[in-house]
Amino acid sequence: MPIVVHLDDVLAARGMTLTELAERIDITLANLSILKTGKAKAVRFSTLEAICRELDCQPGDLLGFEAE
Amino acid sequence: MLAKARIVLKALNILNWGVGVILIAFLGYMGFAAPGRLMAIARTGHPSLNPEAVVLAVRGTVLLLPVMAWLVDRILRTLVAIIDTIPSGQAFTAANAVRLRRIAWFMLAIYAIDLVWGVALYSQLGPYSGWSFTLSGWVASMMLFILASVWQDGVAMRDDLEGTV
Repeated sequence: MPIVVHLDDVLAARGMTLTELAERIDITLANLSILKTGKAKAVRFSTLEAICRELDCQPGDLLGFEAE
Repeated sequence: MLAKARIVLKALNILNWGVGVILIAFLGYMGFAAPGRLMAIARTGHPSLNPEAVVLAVRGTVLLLPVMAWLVDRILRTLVAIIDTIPSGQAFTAANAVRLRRIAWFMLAIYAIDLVWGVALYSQLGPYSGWSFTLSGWVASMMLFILASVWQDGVAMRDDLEGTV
């Protein structure tokens, strides 16, 4: 998929683990892992909002487009 | 509830074949082995009927009975197959949408045969044929086709939802 998820990079920059983020935004670790590994088919605005709020970032920092 | 429905469907299928075999044996004997006796009964019971038409009607019915029993068998078995997917949480799948559509086709076949053979019988035997047109089966099979399509859409939506975070 040409949409790539940079959640790992943003987490590393903030010094936060995926588990910690999952607890803070009340989303299961399994679902967050699906997003992190780029296996998600869609992302809810509410999920994006929660991640951006906790990581103090913009949606564009989390998602990117790479032409195949 | 599901376990009971499964037992009922299995029992109905045994009944389907049991009654089918009895009818084939009885009507087969009357139509093929003892047509003279059948014609005599027709002549005495219903003098207005053409005895040869009665024999042909019985023979045709005997030939159609295994087909009908097989179609009913397929419907009941497919229903059991759908029920078997429910406990494991795998009911909402594309495979079950296909099964539902298959049931609709089997039902449509049953009512198509019923219509063609019923009209043929009625044209020869009139009200004595015992056949009358019924709309319920046609509506039921149409409903099953619609439900199968809805099911298919539901499966696609669930697949999408499963990948949504």
